[in-house]
Amino acid sequence: METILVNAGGLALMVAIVWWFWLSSTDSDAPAQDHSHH
Amino acid sequence: MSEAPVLQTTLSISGATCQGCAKKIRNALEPLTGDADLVEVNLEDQTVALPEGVDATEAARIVTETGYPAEPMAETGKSGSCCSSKSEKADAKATVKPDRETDEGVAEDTSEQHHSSENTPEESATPYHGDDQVHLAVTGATCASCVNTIEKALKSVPGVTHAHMNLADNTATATGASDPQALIKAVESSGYGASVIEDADAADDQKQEEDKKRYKTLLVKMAISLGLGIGLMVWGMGFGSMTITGANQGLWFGLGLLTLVVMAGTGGHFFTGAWKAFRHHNANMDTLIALGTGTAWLYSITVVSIPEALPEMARHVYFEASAMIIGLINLGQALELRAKGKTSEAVRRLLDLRAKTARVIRGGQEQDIPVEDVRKGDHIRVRPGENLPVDGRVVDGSTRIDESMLTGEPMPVSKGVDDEVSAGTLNTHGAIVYEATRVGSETALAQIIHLVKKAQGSKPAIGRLADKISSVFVPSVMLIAVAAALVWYNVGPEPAVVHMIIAATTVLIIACPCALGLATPMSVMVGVGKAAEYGALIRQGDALQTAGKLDLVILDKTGTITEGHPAVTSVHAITGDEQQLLALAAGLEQHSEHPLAEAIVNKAKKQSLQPLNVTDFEAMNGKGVTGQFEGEPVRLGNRRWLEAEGISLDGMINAEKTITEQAGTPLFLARGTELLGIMGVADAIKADSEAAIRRMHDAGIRVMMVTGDIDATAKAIAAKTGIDDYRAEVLPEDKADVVNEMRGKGYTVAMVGDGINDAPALAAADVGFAIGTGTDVAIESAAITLMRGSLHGVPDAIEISRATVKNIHQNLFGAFAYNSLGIPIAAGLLYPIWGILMSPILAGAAMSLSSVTVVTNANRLRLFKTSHKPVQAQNQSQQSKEERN
Repeated sequence: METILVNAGGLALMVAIVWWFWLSSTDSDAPAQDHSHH
Repeated sequence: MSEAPVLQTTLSISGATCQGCAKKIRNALEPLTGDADLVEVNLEDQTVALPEGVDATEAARIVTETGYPAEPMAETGKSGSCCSSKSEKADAKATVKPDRETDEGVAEDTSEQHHSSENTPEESATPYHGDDQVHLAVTGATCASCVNTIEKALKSVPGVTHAHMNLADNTATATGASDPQALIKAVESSGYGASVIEDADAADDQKQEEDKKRYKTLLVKMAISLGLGIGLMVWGMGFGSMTITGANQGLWFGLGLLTLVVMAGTGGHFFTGAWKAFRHHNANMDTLIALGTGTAWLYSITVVSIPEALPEMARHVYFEASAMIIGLINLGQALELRAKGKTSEAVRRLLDLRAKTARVIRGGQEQDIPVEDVRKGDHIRVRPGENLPVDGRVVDGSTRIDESMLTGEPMPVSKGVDDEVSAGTLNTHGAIVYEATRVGSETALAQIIHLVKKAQGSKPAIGRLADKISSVFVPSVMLIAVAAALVWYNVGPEPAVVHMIIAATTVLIIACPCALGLATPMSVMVGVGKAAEYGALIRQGDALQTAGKLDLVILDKTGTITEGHPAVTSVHAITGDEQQLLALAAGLEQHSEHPLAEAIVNKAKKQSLQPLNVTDFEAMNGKGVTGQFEGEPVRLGNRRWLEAEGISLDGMINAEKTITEQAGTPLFLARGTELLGIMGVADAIKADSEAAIRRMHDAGIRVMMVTGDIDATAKAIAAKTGIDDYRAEVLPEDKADVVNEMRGKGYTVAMVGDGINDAPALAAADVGFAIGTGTDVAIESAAITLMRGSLHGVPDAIEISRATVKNIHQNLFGAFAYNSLGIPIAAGLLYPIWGILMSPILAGAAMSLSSVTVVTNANRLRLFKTSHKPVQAQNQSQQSKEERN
């Protein structure tokens, strides 16, 4: 039971990190400067 | 220069980031303006200046279609002041073109130099006015992720077209029409502090003071936290036990609380920084430190509070780790701060050149006044051994002035009445009185300081890549930490809980991106400063990076390889009366202001000849000059033109050959259809041009010359100087085509020219070098400006660039290698092989060491010396002079 809880918690934490820092990022809508034309 | 207002149409643009963009815009607007060179693109301000009368809406549409969103700004009426210089230069260039008198080549080339020297003080003062930039002092930024967050926050403010944060000096610059308060708010809302830098000098002084205070504070914090951590470790291991038992539970609980207080006091800024970043969906170095130390403390306090919840083997506390990690990181930041101070030494040295007071003569009275109170037109007395307070023109006396601090030119320069002098230079010899022409931020010194600072803060492409990587780095490390913890929990040996906590904490602590964030800006700061010491002013970090990759240098001839002051070297008359020939030529040329004309008139003057009376003077573009003498047409010009006019030049074939063999330009004089004689005009090759070209060869660079001069002359100069290849009879406007052609062949091309009339070629090149003499140069006209007239500036800049790029690579490699090796080891990769699991304390030390290593490596660049020996010697003597002072 403990093993399941720890692993589930760990995976949930990883999902939360991905969601918080990438998927729900507030500044993802900030226009990135395109330097690709160089 | 006229004081009458010059109307100018200006567009506001966005997205133009390089000289290539500027060229595209100029070319796109050519059909509208008739001449691409009349279009001035200012990349810093993100504006395009167009000649009067151009339809701004149409121009904006064209520029937008080219890929750079543009809109018209109000037409600006500018008096002949500083702000109008660039357009006026363009105008001056356009109006001067018809004044091509003699041989295509010499006429073209020498006029360039001529107009460069006409660059008035007001014109040179351009760059610092109308800068649509807001400079901010930023607090709380510690790593590459912070840089990314702050830049994104600034770019999200309406009106901002470009934002740039420099971690090396903690400043940010936003370009575009935006409200400073909105910028501050944007930075603050992303979790950092910001204030507008209004007075850069005051801000510098303030920052220095703050850095000193911060350094001391960090050392105190380091002493407290390391003291506690080491104390706990020594006591725990030597006298007590770090494993919780019923007997020591109360004591460890008290020590846990004490650790918390110390962590809050000495490392509170990591936690607040992490929290601010977290709230804005960001993660940075603070996040990793806070999570790492916080996890260790939370685990330990859990062990102390409810030891029975954990297996007996796992009842170990790690309070000492939390305290020591914070102590070590504080130590690292203190060392980093100290090293950072040294990187800006070049600017500090320039700042120290500024005189505090000036001895001004007002109303016949001499008085010492603060330099800020000096006004244009004031007469200033300077005695031997004093630094000049402002720029000006000598009105009385003569002296020798040491300009090495600005130009890198080792020999003091003689100055007499009407000569220009610059602020910051040293009067070595006599006493002079001079009239102030440029004061405050208009002086050449102020402009150089501004330019060096700006370039030091700019980021080459390689640095932008590092920033991009680091923006995803921290959350990725958090994922790795959790994954490592789970692996240890599931497959690790007992006590699994302890191992998972150690692995996660160590991964979080070791993976700090601070070294990554510092790798590029630190080296750029030192490299740009070092180049400035050698008289090479670099405008952008990109130029610094590209200069190291150059494999072809294209040199303009006049004023670049040669002195730029043509003189008459020989006169041959058919009749034998050379004085008569010279008097007639002087009669023709006295109507022209061309430098070539000046050479002929000067020669006549030297021989005390009275110029003959020539009327109906007319300059023939690219051919020569013509006029009427005693009812007959007289012509002075090149072979092609005179032959086209039906004049036989056979009588002077041998003389012509001699002139061209000596790298001179032949000018034929004819009356009616009768050839009177020939004159050779030559521009002396600079004494050190050949040596500089040899240095370029030694660096593996091919050297080419483009000149408007005739083939024979170009060939002779190429042979004398060791140039690999040349193109003769190229008009200035076609030089850009040569540059493009060579780029098309795969070369990374540098163009070296005078910076004004060569502007299109300089812009077309990968790196444009504007070569100047003394401080009278247009320092905004090229990516790199050589303050010294010598070509040695080119190999100097290339060598410094190569050293800097190598340094950046070393730093980035070090930072990446550190993380690539550190993270797997911290996660426990070595455990299955050797049974080693890294301690979080060691991770803290390694992390601090990584940023200190990067900063120290960047500082190594300060010791770099180019292969040009005389400058080295001069710099050393300058240094020893400073030390003596």
